[in-house]
Amino acid sequence: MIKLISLKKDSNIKVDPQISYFLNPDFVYIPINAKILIQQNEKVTKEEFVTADLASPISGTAIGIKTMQEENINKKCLVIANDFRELSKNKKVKKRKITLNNIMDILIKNNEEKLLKKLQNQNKFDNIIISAINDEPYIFNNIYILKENIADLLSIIDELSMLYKSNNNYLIVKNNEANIINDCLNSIGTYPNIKLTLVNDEYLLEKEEFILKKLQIINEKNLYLDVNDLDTLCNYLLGKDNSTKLITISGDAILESKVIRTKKNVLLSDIIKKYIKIIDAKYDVIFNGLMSGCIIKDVDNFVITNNINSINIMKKKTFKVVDCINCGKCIEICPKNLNPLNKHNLEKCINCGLCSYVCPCYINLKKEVKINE
Amino acid sequence: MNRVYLHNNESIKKIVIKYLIGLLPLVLYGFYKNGILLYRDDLVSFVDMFNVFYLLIISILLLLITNFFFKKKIFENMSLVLVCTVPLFMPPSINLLVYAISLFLSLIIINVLPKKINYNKIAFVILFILIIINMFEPLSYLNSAEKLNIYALNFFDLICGRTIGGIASSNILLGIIVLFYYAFFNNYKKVIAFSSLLAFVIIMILINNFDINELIASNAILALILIAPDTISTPAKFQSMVIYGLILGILTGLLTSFISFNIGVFIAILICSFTTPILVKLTEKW
Ligand code: SF4
Ligand code: SF4
Repeated sequence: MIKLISLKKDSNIKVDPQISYFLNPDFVYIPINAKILIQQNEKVTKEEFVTADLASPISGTAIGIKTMQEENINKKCLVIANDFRELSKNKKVKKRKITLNNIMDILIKNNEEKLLKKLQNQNKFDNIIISAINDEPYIFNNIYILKENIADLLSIIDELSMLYKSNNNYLIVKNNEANIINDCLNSIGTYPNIKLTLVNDEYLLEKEEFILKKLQIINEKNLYLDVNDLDTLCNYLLGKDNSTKLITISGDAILESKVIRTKKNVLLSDIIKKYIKIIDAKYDVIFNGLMSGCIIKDVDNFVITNNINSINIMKKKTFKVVDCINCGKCIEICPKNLNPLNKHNLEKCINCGLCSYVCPCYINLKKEVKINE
Repeated sequence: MNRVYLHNNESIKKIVIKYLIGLLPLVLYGFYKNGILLYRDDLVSFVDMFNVFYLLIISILLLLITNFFFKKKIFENMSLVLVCTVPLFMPPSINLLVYAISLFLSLIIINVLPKKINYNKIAFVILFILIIINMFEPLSYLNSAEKLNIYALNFFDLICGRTIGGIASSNILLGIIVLFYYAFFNNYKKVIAFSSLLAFVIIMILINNFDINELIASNAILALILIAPDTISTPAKFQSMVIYGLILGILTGLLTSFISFNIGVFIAILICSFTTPILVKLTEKW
């Protein structure tokens, strides 16, 4: 039996039920990780590869290279000025037939390594598990993706289930997401092979290992995808636009939290300027979650790349760190049965942050663990 | 910076307060047994009736003074727990001046001793004070009534606190209630308390030929509940806590039976706490 806990959350942090859209940025900044494929001042179209691994989310002109922040690391980025015409060479992409070969083709062509790893060389799964859970507090991406696109997503789950001859198909939703549960129940009726599975709002259920344990199917052959992965796959297969992503901007230092569909590789500060009203003078901006994320060092130059899922803008809090009282709470809570106080087996650490979350001395154990690693 | 921004709101201050709440019924019972009852029978004066409270007040004042000298804050460590636990285990007829001086000295010692030395500070302070008291007069845990042996008590009376013991550490029934209260609140090493109690009870029953009176008539049970699971000086891992508790229980039984009835438990706790680093090392890879 796994023992998971619910995190203490501030019930005053509410999110706008409607998705906001940031689809017309003046510039996008493509991190240069691989060979650049275009010249200065060359025109690019939407979803055209501008480096060997990344495509432009807009059409426009490559105007130069600038150093920006990608996940707190200085990174040279290709700057593309938007012409606001959304020109695309792939204009007439048609819905692709869902076959194993087609899926592999698409994933290879689009460098979708994560999905590729899960699907490669498989032609049968016992269970398909689609998770619409976000573990991190005040992050709502997955549930909003489901809400936004429920019909297509259910149809893809259905097709995957036929393709992989799965016995069970689970769609996992937290039981406190009342709105979406109703939507799901209405739409899922036509897919009797998909089970809507409600789980408690417990931390770590977004992680494959823990949800499989919870469902007691850990030893079976499972295909686990989160709604975001499925949405990406769905967009490729249905020939839809993949140049945008969903991020949540939430926190107690802003007037209203929002889930925003934005072009990829835009500047965070541009989104904040347009949508977010900061109400506190002293605040921290954190990317990718309050439990496992990091504080942003340079908000003005921070780029929303594909790996950024959330931004939390929180009132500045200072915790007075005191000497360890050896209470053992950090050991007791660790879901991987590690001992954050010594250096053994720390390579198994999943960076969940629970050890720091429970420490009464406010010791940043997660940081120590990472350093030890 | 890689930091967790969310916290479950547990802090040392909250842990200390919850701990002190647990001590309250014991203090009140101590006041009843060694204050009200003795005053009723004209065995102590009105002023002396409140001895247990004087001890607590002296302890807290001395902590504030030493904290001031050593630039420490009251809720940044567990020292308030220490100074509020120590008086409970003092002999009922303790001389307040001797208590104050010896506590003050022991607080200075624990502040200057290197942090690296692992020992149970509560047990150390209690032993230190008892040794100093013993220099002035032979150590006795009898109160004025017990010295005169004027009460006829049955087993139920004894288990409800009328047994011989510290000024507020004689009520085993209350102690067990407090144990369960602590076990349900977060930061109490209940594994050590339960395993040491289990080992102690078994060893005492075996040594004393199933005589339950021997088991309850010492400071041991309350000390195993209140002092043994001291968070700082004990191991933190489940397996090491079980081993630690079992060894401690056995040692307490042996020392209480063969060395010193009243202070055996404190010696056992102090000895065991010295072994914690070795135990932690041995069980590191488990
Ligand atoms: S939770 Fe904090 S205080 Fe407790 S043992 Fe771990 S590091 Fe020390
Ligand atoms: S961050 Fe690592 S060490 Fe800490 S609780 Fe999570 S898995 Fe365990």
